[in-house]
Amino acid sequence: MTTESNLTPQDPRPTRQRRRVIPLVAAGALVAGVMLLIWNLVSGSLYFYNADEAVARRSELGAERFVLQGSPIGCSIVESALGSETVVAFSLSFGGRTVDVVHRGDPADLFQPDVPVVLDGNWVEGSPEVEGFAGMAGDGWYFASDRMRVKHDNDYRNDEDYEQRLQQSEAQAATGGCS
Amino acid sequence: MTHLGYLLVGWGVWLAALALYGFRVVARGRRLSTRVPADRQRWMTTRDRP
Amino acid sequence: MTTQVAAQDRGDGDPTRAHTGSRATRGLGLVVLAGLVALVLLAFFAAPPDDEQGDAVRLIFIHVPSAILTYVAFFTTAAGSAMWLWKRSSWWDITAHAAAEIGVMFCALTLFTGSIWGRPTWNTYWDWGDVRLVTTLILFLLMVGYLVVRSSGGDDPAVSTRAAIVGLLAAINIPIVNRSVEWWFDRTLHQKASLTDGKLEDLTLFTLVFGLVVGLLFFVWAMIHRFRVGWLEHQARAEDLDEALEARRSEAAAAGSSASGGEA
Repeated sequence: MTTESNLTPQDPRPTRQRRRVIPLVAAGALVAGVMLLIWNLVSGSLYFYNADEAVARRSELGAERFVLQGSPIGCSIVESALGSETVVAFSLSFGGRTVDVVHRGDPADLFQPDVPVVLDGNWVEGSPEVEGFAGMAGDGWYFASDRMRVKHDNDYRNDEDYEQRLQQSEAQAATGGCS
Repeated sequence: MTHLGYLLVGWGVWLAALALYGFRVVARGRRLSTRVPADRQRWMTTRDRP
Repeated sequence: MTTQVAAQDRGDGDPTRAHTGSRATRGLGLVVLAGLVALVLLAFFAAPPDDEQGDAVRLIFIHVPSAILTYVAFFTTAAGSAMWLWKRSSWWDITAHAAAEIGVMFCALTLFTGSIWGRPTWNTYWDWGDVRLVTTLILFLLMVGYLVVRSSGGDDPAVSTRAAIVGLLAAINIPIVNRSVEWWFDRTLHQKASLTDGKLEDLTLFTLVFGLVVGLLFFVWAMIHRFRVGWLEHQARAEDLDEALEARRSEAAAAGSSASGGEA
């Protein structure tokens, strides 16, 4: 009978402490994860304003930074320089509204007509002073951007006439095809 | 080929991760197999062994 | 039957030949290796480049299968967790753990390959405003949490139960991750589903489906080995416990006999 009583674990304390701490840490991480998820889902609906919404909320947004989404209009794209910095000016549209954009910095690799872009920046009152750029919005405002992302679609194509269409679009832009 | 650097990094890490995980799980199995007597090495079911 | 084949093939009694493989897993492993070689050839030499993305599109062949296998693995964990809570069966508990470990690897690869693909196409590695990206990261963190909970205590059924609850909670996030590009379509940077909604060239589609099949075969192969590792860990702990108990009994018996000898 005495032999059975000696089977009690001799040093259980560190294991017990560890077992108490790890579930607490895991529970904390779980709660944080769920809160982050909820925050993300709620804020996800306000991730960016489409061009029509940004125009409608212009007075409310003021000089505040926000994210703008729209499709660049091919014939409006002008690439220029401001000192040593590259500047790309173009008009974009969404929901029937047009916004003039001046983006400081190199454009994204896939930046091209009709492929939507997502831009970080703010409204500026006045005309964009970029040589050769005649904005299509004509409302006395432009969007000053400093970060550009491209929102490509889920079509993965290899059309034979793609290069030809792209060249036509670039030629149209070079000759001021918007007017 | 365009974007070769991104392709090499993406594919390289993907293939390396699969290979490393595969080797690691097999090595763990080998190590554990030596610690467990043969009569306890029944993984799919505990009932179909004669 | 599987057990018998595995047992014969395992080299029982010879520690240098002991392993978790069997004739079936070796065959499957060779098929996976051949499939991976074929996938690389198809992806880099047969599938065409994309008009807009150029050759960067070739990352789709690893990114999309990784994402789908993440879902498969974490659903397996959820199913195993539910079965553990219901049946208290070690088989399901080990299955859930094995799938979680493999799923975390695929989820990390989904995030990594997506990030690498995002730089040349979206012009960014990451965007905190994108619902798909952040919900996927949360899924990853939740499942890392699952593995942390599991690491806290061997075969303790309470640990398995806690982990099962985490596994089931994490699974709620899977449909949110998957449908986010539909529910928030006009608010996300991420494109819609490529495999079900996309317009893909024939060879691009074939290579993508081929990559998914190879990935699934790897998942099955890894699951079999990882399950067996889990089973062996379970048995090794039981073996260690038996040995410890036996040692204590021997010590106590020796102490008892010397004490009675002293008395005599």
